[in-house]
Amino acid sequence: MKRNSYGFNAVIMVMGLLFCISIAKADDARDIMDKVDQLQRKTADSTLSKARLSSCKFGKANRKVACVEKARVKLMESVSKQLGSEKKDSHSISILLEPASERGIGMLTYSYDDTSKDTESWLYLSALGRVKRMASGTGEDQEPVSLFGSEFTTEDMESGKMDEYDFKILKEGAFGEHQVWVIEARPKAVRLKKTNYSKVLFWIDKKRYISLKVQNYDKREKLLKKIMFKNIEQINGLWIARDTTLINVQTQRLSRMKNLEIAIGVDVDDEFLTQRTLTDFAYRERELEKLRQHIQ
Amino acid sequence: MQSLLSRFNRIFETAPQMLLPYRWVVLCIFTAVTGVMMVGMFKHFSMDMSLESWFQDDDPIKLSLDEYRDQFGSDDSVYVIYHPKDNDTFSEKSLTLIQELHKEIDNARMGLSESRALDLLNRIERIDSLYNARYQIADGDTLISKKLIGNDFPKTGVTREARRQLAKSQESFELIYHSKDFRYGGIRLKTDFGVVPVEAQTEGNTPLEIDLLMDDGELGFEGEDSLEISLEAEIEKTQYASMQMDEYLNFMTALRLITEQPKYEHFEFHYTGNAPVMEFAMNNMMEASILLGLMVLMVVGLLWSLFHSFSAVIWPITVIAASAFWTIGVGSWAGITFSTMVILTYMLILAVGIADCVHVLSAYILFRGEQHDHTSAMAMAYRKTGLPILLTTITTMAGMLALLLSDIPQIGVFGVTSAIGVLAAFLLTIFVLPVLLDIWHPFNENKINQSDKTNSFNQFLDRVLAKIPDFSGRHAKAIVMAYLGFFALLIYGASDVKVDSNFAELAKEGSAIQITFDIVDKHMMGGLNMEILLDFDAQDALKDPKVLRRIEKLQLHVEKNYPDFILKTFSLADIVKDTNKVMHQGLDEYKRIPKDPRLTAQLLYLFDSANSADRRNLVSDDYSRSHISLHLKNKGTYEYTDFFSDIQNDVRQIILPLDGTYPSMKAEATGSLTLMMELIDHIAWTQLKSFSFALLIITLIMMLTLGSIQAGLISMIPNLLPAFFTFGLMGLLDIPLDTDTLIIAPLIIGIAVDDTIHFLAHYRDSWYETGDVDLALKNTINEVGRAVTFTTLILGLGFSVLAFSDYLGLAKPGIFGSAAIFIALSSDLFFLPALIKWLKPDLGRSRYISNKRLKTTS
Repeated sequence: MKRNSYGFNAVIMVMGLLFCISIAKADDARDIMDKVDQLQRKTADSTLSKARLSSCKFGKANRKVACVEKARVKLMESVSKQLGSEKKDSHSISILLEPASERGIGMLTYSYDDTSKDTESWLYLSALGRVKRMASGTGEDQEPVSLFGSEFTTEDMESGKMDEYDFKILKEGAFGEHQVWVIEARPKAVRLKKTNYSKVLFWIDKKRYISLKVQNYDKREKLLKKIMFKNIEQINGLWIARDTTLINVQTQRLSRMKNLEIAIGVDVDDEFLTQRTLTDFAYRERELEKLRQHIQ
Repeated sequence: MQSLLSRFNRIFETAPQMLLPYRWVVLCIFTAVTGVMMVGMFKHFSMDMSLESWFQDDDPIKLSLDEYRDQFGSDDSVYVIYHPKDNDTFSEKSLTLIQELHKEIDNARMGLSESRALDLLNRIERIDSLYNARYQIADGDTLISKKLIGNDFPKTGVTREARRQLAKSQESFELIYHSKDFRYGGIRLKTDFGVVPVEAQTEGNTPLEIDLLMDDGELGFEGEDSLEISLEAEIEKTQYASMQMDEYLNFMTALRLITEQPKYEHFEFHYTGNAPVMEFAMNNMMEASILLGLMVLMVVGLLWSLFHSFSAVIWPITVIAASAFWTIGVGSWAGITFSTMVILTYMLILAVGIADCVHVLSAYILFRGEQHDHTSAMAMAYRKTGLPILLTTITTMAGMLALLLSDIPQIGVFGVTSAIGVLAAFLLTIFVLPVLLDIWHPFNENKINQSDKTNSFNQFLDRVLAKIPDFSGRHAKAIVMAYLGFFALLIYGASDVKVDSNFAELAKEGSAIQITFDIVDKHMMGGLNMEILLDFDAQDALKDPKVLRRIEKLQLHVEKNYPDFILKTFSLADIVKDTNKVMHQGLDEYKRIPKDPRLTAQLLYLFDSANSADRRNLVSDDYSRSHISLHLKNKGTYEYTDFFSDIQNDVRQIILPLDGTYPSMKAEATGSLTLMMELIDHIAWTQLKSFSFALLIITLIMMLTLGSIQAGLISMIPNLLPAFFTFGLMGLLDIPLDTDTLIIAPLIIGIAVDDTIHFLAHYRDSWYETGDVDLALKNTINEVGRAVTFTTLILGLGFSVLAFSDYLGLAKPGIFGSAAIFIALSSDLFFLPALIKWLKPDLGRSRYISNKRLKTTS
């Protein structure tokens, strides 16, 4: 009897220890992801970038992914700024430069960390010469949508909302030339209704606190997307990937976002991130020209 | 030939005596083989119940379906129609409950439900209902795109009325989410049926999870500035797992667990789509297995009442059951994948097995009644019946193997397995039944004499049969003329029969499935769909206003010209028109395709930036391919024949002129209606081809065995009469011939041929022996009359049990099959004797006699 009780206690102790370890690990995972998120937010603060977004259906040649059709290319110039006391809110504007038929389309977005607050956005169609405010509801009513018709969705580009996930370190070790943590993020019930994913895996560079790779899994826990970050450069002391490729393994389509030009920490006037920039071409060009001086 | 047949007769006569000393060896072999076959059946039996299994892998229809799925996703949704008790989908109660239902299904699909039984609903990819239907309106300079209910539940009557008006303003909502009068509502469950890749089903997690730290380095364009096309790159062809019928059934069971809760009794639910139809079919298969069980019970009862002996019941059932095990066992060991048609194989084995055994048993009892002992009665019974049984086996096998001419895999498998079944029944009747009969035989002199005396039916039957030779002798010409007249009428009727399959008419009137089809046609978007696939082979072609205007023109044209068929049409042009309107303050005059290509492209930018899965349902990424959906009323394929060709013609006239700008463009119809029409056309031609071939073979065999061309041709009329009776009667009564009845036709011919062969083979023997037509006819009817009547009664009444099925696909073959079996009997008992009496065919007797004389002289 005594022996049994001793054995039972031992099991409890081991289990308790394991529990503590897992708690500690979970905390670590959250801390890591918080830091990654914080740094990511900095890269979007007062930033000007010109990016090319190419999408195509892919096939494989010698186990390497390659387009099997002519890629659809969109070229855009964006300016963004983080606001609020913790810099968790953001204002951004994107103007399409290519293709010719869509040249001049502009999108102005104000998004807030507070989930009860509507994301505000305005769309300018150059062919129509008119700005439209877009109202699409809040919280659950908002669904992840495609970014300029590519494989990237608004959800893939989102930062923050860390409280809506449970994080766990799955593995540590060398990933290529870098030491990484592989961290799993599982959406909590509050997130589950809004997300397309059952879990997301992050390969976080231990030194630079930046994602090297991300994998998204669909609601049946099957691999859906792989996002690879390449050409990581240090700009203004911040690490930034200039080449991001998303492979949708289920639809066999990929999108590649290549940062052609970037300037971080530039002085963006609040006035620039308003509707005027969408419609006033001369003003926009004048202001952009000033910002372009800082491109590295 | 004749000497060969005589040799066969001798073989069959001596076979039982030769086997009896080795009875235990025979029994051991029989038990061992049956055991091995049963092991095969339980270990390797596989069944494919998917619609795709009706098509060969390289069939263009299957390929185009796969292409459609690759491009636009699953076309296999479940549509739930609900009818609130208060007749208002916008009442407080209806909206509250639909919100609750929507959320409950949503939770179940995401695995958040407590009940694991609901996990099967994870096949749902998206739920669309009034709760989350996204409307788009212009309010001054604001473009509002919100969910109709969503987080903002309308609590007052005024706000609910405002939402109703909002729903009314959205053309795309009507007939999909609510009926015109708001009495019915619809929930669309978009599923992943048919688009789950094979590997995803078989593998658990991806191998990447196993080695998370391995860099797969699959990017082939690192360092390059832009994405170039690689000519060597190959797309991994996605293999989609076929949907099995039980998957549909399980899905529907889980869905009903939610909808049938008492809290939703405010709604009356109806379900359409493949899943509920398959659920219906599966439930009917279960019902069919009960009916088949009843059929077996009826056969047992009839065997007992006709023979009054347990051994006469047990041994035929043993032979039939073992034949079935052998057939399925051989197929399973050979790796054959069966289909639902395996039920027809069982029915054929039952029919053939019964016929074989009843002929042997009748003959045996007849000879025992004529005071022969057991051994000689057995020898004589097998001498008389062995050859006809061999011949019926060969003809039925030939008929079934003729189905191999079909390029429909399932029909080919059905043909081969049925032929194996017929062969198994023959082998067991010839080699095992004598041993079984020797162990326990049905004849008990006292019992039989007594039972025959008390069995008033047998006495009545014998009296009627005894009168037939005389009756048909006296009225030979009249009988022949009457039958030929009847035959001509049936041919006329058959020429008028229409081949038609209608989903709704699979079930009896008033059944749930018929009511659903009726509601969906009258109030919602219809039970059938047709897709016009457009491929312009040029990037951004579908942003070209010229193209969009042509699409709009086609939609307007077909909606105007075919109101009896089309309920609603939908295409990319509708999206452009609606967006143009909302971008112009919601003014109706802007509900059109703009002339400016730049504006069209920019209007589509909005659609592009929405949910990419929704976009891909309608248009390819590069805007080179799209489809126009036509929502159709449910009608039979026959009615759609003209409509189908008219639509194709309209497509040619309205869309194809664009080939000046897009030279390699293609436009073609696909979708459930097209698939069904192609399949039915296919089955009809296949069956016709197989029939003709089977008839040719059977006629040739009859000519050879009966010794003259004349006799072969004579036999064809009673052979054809039952099949023509089915088709002719359907034509005369204007009952459409559906695929199920078409498929069962070989079975009817098989059974009809059996009786004729037995009759003619006996007659030939007796005619050779006596040279007297009247006496030969009398002997024949005396020897086989009871047996053919017994088999007819057993099979005819057995088949008629199927008439009680709710599934008309089974009930119709039951009714017509049963009637055809009785017609076959009447033509064997009345028409054949009359025809023989009238024509007095020689059947090669003179040659036989002269050969015999020559032999005797030499």
